[in-house]
Order: sequence, then C-alpha cells, then structure tokens
Amino acid sequence: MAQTIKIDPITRIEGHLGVEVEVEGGVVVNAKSMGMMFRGLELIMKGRDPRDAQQIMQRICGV
Amino acid sequence: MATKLSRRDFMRAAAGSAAAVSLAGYLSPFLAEAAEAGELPPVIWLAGGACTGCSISLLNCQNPDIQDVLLKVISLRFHENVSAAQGELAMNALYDVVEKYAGKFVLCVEGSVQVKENGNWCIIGEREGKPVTMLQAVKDVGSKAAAILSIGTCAAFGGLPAADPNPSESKAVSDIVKGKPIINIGGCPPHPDWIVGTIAHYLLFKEVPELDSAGRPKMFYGRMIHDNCQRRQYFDNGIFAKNFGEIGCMLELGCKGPIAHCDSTTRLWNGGVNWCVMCGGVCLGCTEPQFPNWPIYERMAEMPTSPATTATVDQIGFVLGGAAVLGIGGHLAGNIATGRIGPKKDHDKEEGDN
Repeated sequence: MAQTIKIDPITRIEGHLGVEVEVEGGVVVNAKSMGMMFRGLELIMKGRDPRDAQQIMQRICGV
Repeated sequence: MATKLSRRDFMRAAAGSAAAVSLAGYLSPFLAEAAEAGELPPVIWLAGGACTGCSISLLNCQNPDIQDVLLKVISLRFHENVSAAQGELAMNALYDVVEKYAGKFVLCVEGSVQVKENGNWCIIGEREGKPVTMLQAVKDVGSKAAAILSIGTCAAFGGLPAADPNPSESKAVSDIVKGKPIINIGGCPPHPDWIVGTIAHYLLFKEVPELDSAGRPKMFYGRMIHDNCQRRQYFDNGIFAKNFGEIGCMLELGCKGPIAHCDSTTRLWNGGVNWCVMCGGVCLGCTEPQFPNWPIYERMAEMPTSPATTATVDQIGFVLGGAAVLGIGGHLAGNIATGRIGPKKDHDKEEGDN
C-alpha cells in the first residue's frame, strides 16, 4: 500500500512550490513537484518592443 | 532614550531623509520604545503573483538591519520564504494567527491576486487536503486584518502580471478586499525605507498616513521624479540624450520621470548609493498604477498622468517648471551681477580661444 506524502507550500524558497511523494515499503515509487503560480510573462511580452524584454523578463524572479 | 515622536517630526524625517541618514535608523529607538510597551505587533506576509523582489528589497533595509526589524519591531508570523514550518503545519500556523489576533494584525501582501479560474492560477498551499488559492487567502486573512499594506506595484495596482493582456486576470488587493484601511506602497520594488517607514507610521500612530490619489503615502510619493531629477537642467535647456551614455535629459529614450512619483532622486538606493537615472538608466515609472503598460524605451507623446488622463511632457513641465524657472532666473541675475556672465572682458581674449 503506497503512502502519499504531500508538502505544500515548500517554504524558504522563492515562489510557490508543492511536492508530492509516493512511498511504498520504504521506497519512493513516484514523486512530483509542482510550481503553483503562473503569470504568463511570455504572453505579456507578445507584440511588445523587444527592448522591453530586459525589464519585463527580469521580473520573473526577484531573488 | 528617545522622547515621544510627534507626527510632524516623523513626516519631516520621512520626507527629508538624506542619503547619509537612514530613515529606519532614525526610527528604530522610537519603534523599540513602542514595542516595549506591549507585545510585538503580529504581521502576516502573503505572496501571490510575485517575484519576491519586494521581500528582497526589504532585506536591504539598513541600520537597523532586517534582523532587528524582525526581532525588535514586528513579530512576523507567516512568510513563505522565512517560515521554518512547511506544508500543512505552515498553513495551520497562518490561520491560527488570523484567529488569535483577529482585528489586530497587519497584513502585508506582495504580488498580485490572480482571480482567473477561481484563483487557481496561484495556490499558496494546502490545508485539510484542499488547495488554498491566493484569492481565498487574501479574502480570509484580509477581512480580519487591522490594516493591509499592498507592498509593491503588483499588490497595489496589479503591476506586471496585470499588464496587457493580463493572462492570469491579476488584480490589486484593493479590488479584492473592501472596507479595510489599505496602504499602497508602489514600486517595482519599493525602497526599504518606504516599506519600513509606512509600517513604522502605522505602529507608532495607529493610523494610516496621509495618502495620495493612488493610495500611496504622501511622505514618500509626494514628489515628482522629473521635478527633482539630477538631469532636470538638461530638460530645461533642451539638451536631450539620443543614446544611452550621452549627456542630456533621457526623455527621448523613454524616461517616465514626468509622471512618476517617489523620492528616489534624494533618498537613493542600496544604502544611499545611487538610483535609476543617476546610473544612466531611464525612470521606468515603476511606482505608477499604469506600469508597465507602456513602451518602456520610447518617448510617449502623451503620458498617462493617471489611469484616466494624459498630458504631453510640455504641459507637465510647464506646471512643474514654474518654481525651477524662478530659481534659475535668480541664479542668472546673480551671475550677471558678479560678472560671471555678461560682456566679455579683456582678459578673456588674452587667454586665447578657450
């Protein structure tokens, strides 16, 4: 019988991360990590001046 | 020990804080005294559609450093990037504080609130086996807060995630929570003094500082970048840089100084070292509600002075320039009187063409 361990949020990292691990008999049989936030910066960049990319895309992560 | 700080002194310190004097350093004894009087005020920090840049900017707080702010001034009860607990433990801690200190804690929000698909574009954690969206958290926590600080342009106005076409349907905190005192601390990111100064004002006087039309504290956002810019003289003399690295006003390169409000020109960044235009970049207008819904590196014929109005830079400059022109006029008159400007004297010729 597999046991599922879910940790969401993972703290002390930048962004919204969740982790789901399936353990069976002391062995990890499946693991997923999930980024839980989406802003769509690529969609915002569509049709903009290419020079704007340096200001828009740097704001993906401020850490 | 510090004597009691009056509102007037606070405003003077906040507005006039010179590069060498840290606002936070000036305030720390008063804050420590306020904190001694009782339990440290609980603060909850939520992040939605954020890059965590505002938290990082706050870390740059100098003298006292962020450690003193966290340990002596406020009691930070939840912050996803700082919490030792994680998973459901952290989420339960968050909701426990909300229940225990209902109506007493201050909520700081970083990042926009994404409402698309019922808020599922941003999930901050899981509780009782169910995902908690940022939308839900802001409603739950915000409705029980004493006051809300929208830190950064994203939380204050929607900001970058809300730029056209706003894929995640991002909204400002003030669009989600109603009926609570909300202070917008615009900036991408905001200066640490603006954040700490606003929190300090609220803690010391238990009320919201005077706000401008965009909901920002006037003590930090009352001034126009263009009006106090080190390159303003070039604008008045019609000298414009055509490329980066050239001498001149950077309006033609897309500078948004004429519509941007904040005191970066005098407060300076990174512990009073420099700011955007002084290091050769243009002002992005990052403290404004419309940021970044404009061409960043192009001069706009009509600049949005508010969400509903536009004006040409000459119209803005005319209003702003009045006081400066008077000043320059006086300066010229002085120079003529002392002989620095005026008909050439004989010794000028002797020195050659120089």
